[in-house]
Amino acid sequence: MERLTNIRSALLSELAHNHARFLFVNTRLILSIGVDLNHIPKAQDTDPTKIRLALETLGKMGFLQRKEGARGS
Amino acid sequence: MARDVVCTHSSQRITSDAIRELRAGLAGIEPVAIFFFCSGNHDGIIIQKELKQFAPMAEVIGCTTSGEFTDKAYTQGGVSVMALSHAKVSRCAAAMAEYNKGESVEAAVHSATQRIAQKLQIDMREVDPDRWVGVVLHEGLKGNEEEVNAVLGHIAPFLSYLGGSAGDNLVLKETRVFHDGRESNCGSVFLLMELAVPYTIVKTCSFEPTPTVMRIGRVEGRVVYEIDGQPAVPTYAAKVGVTPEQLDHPVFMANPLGLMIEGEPWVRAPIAVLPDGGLLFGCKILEGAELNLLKNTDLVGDTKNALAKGVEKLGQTPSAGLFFNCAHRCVEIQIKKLDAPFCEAIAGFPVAGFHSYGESWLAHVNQTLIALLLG
Repeated sequence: MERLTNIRSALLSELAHNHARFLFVNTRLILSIGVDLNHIPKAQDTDPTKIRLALETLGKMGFLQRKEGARGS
Repeated sequence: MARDVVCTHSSQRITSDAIRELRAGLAGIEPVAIFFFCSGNHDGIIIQKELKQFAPMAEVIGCTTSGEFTDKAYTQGGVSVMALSHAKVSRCAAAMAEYNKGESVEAAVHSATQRIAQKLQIDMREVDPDRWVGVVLHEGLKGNEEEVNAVLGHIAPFLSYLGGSAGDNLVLKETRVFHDGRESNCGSVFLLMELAVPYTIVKTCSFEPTPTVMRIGRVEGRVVYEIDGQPAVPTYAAKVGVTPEQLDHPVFMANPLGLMIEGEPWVRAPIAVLPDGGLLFGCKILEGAELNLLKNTDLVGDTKNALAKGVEKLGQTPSAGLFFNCAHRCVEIQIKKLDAPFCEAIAGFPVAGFHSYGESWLAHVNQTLIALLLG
């Protein structure tokens, strides 16, 4: 994914558009990596560092995975 | 008549005396979960073992404090305890993670949470976060809280683990956590509960944002070296309105920074100027973060309001409140002689808690009260 806005769309879709859950996960992202998927400044949307961090962290949470089996306890 | 919740306390400084009082206070309950918070002068392992002997079926976790309290007592040197029966906690499991035994923090947290998941036969990522909640007690001086909380978020992104970091009465020498007859001065203990009652989480601090924003530059761990592209210490001092030489604990305590999320500050507290020109914070700050300078409000009033909102959200008077209150707030309470009004503010229902070296919920924060309210 080349944009944070795409990551937001994919995450919302995976969460079945449960906005409360999206905000909860988003708060974790803001606090741990400084990426806010709910308010994406235009200048950050294509920032490769932010995109990499978001994908890595969401991946560790078990989101946006193509394969099963990458989840924790 | 059996009791479902007991919040009890002993101000005794000798562990055997304290245990005698605590056991008397626990009469009439068959707990499944027990939390204890003891001053560093106590032998926490003995307290843990005695509580386990009192309630062999219960999970018992605890830590050292920078002051401990209930809705009826407020001390340094004593012990506070909360015990919850099956009527409140359907089932629970606890584990300790140690970060000085060769495993990485990430591996140790995964291992501990896997043990909990196995005991409960659950997938922690899939359990209903409206019924399940975790409590985490961290050792308070080694600086592992950010990573531990992040890993908990990886393991169970929808689940709340809330808690605090152990204290040592502001001596800053050693803090400890306890579980299963053991202690760790470099670890965390976790207790995951399936609740039989509704719950809500309260997070409050007595600060509001000012229009002054600081953009964080170079950071190493919890040390900030640049603010707005300039050396951190003089820049922070100028924004606060003092000289660098005037930066001291009262100035820091009254002028923390806040990461604003949906209008709420997540407090990042400066705590010291380092010889190398760095500004040490009580939690990690991310490079590139834009933080608002915060200004002090009314600690007691804000606490009352936050608890009232929590009660409203819960829809009933809580049957129990587990409180993690920052030691800096404790100092503010002491300096401003707010002990009596603060105790009154938290006395509306059974409470047990302690003054902590940082508070945890989704992340590690400072100068905050985090509370778990049970229906």
